[in-house]
Amino acid sequence: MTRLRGHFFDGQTSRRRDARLTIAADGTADLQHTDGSQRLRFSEIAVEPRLADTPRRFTLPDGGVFETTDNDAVDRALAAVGRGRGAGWIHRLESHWHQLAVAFVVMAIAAVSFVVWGIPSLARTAAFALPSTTSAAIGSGALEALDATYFEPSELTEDRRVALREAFARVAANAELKAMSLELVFRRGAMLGANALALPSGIVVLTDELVGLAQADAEIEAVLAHEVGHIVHRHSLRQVIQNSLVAVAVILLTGDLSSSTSLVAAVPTILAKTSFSRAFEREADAYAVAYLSERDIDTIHFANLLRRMAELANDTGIPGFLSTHPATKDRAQALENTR
Amino acid sequence: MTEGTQEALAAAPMEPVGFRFGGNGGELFRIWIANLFLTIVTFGIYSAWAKVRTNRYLWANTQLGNAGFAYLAKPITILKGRLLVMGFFGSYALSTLYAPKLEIVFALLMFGLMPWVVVRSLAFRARNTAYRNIRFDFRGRYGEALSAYVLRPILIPFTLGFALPWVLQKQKQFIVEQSRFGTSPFGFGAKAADFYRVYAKAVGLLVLGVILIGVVFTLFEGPRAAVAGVLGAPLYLFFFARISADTSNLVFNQTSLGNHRFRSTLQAGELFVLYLTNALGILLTLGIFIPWAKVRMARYRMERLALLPAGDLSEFMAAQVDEVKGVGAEFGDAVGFDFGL
Repeated sequence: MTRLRGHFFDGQTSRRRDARLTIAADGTADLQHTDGSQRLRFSEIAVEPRLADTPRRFTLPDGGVFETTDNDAVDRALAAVGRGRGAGWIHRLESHWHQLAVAFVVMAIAAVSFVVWGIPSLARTAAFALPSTTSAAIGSGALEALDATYFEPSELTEDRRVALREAFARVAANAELKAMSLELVFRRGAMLGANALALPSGIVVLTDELVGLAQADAEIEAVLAHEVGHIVHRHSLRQVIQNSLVAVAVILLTGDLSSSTSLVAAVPTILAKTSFSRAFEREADAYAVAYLSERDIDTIHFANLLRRMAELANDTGIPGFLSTHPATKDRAQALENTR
Repeated sequence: MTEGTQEALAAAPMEPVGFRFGGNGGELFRIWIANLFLTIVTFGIYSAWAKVRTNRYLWANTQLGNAGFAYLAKPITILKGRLLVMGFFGSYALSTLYAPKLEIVFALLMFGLMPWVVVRSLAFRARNTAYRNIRFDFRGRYGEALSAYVLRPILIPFTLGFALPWVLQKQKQFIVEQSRFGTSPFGFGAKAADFYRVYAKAVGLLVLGVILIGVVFTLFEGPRAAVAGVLGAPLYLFFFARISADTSNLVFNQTSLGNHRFRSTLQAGELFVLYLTNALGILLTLGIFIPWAKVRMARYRMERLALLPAGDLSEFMAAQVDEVKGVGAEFGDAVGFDFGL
């Protein structure tokens, strides 16, 4: 027999009555309160699963509520009739610091590995499973948008363009692309300066400034190979998928305590995104290196151009872990090491 | 007003009944970690149960007088709501990938859904909250929510922000006046002018602070970006604390429940210190401090809030309340609505 002291709220008014609930071995439950009493079967009463030491609510069939803080006695009464096993272990998990500490460490390792390895490989699988038109769909309108904000018409001579298109044709012929055509366009970079961009739709943009910076056509061919590498590896699509997966992971981890977490969520999100971006740059560099060695072009040309770009930009001073590109001098060094 | 209530008002003032938050960070932390763990191993399904356990803990530890609040939402209702919301955003993401023009259709749909989401979120929370076994209720309608959350806010950019206090006053009025506890309606007495006063004070303070930082700039040589960061960040935080404290005080002090009234006495300075220490704690512990930060904030807000009873708190009557489906509320959660008063 279990005697529980607490309070009774009848659900009709907000009156609080001192009450006592007596649960007998035969399964009857007697509720006695200041203004009356009720005899019930214990099995008819819904008992809330335990949560820390918050008061336990017993909901009666007529909507009345008996509340008690004697959680341990409630647990014993439930155990005596074989109830409360399902939800009880959640409370036990929540009460054990050392089990939770282990769970915490396991989760931290799992979360970091998921972000570092799981998400990129999931995104790669997904990106290559989707039809190649998906990339094009993402990128449609990108060139128009860039033209409107950054680019100005190119001032390169027709002769120069023809030579560069030939180089691009060599790179493109080498790329294994299903159902996607590559196109080279020329623009003056203006604010973007010496630069080359790969748009997911298969368009590679080369700025006049970069052409001017190059001292050999092999240097430009290397840059074109790097940009085509981005397209071949479907980096734009993978980036979209990876960033969505990071968002889902962050919501999963912090969604439960949402309001104060936006700052906390922002930091790992930025770290993850910039790390993905650097991995893409390295992958595109590797593609360029493979192309150059296949065509017997010295990779030093790519390194030379990168070094000149770095001098021009005087590097940004952004620490490596926050940057979207690996430091240019590190890339140039890595390229020289491949010779 | 009836004669009876006038008598009650004229009667000797009764002792204020204080609110109190009794939870502690350690417990909330353990609930959070257990929630995370179970959510991950069940591929997210447990998240609905996780939400209920967290809210039950927060509600039960919020006490008024000698009784706590109760959170009554069922995990299954929340899970169904979450699945529907995921389906909506999933189809949105997929369709825009293949047909970018559909984005406009979805944007319009979101616009039309928004007032419904507001109403359903508020109703879900109110009807799943009980005090002394009497449920709250929210009876706002789509049309009112449309003007409060969609139409009036459109004016804010066109008035260079000058409409903001008025828009906020209308939103708070909508939330408070459409809420009930049992059969007792809440009343709201704050006027737009009161909100303009709150914002004028805070903006004045901000301008003064910016001028001061400007003076410091002209007096000292050195790394200006660092100076701007060191002085600007706390200034911004204090501006935020000032608005938050004054708005909460205004809303609660002008809210009535039947003839009962509320008294909120938050201090911008104290709130500022809390914001600052919580933010530092969260940053330095890489997020582990979040549950303690939440508890500290709840404790402070509750200890500064009291009910001024005009009579017996035992005489609220229950009203018939219908269940609300979870989808609207989960939609609200997904797009980040926060209706804190």
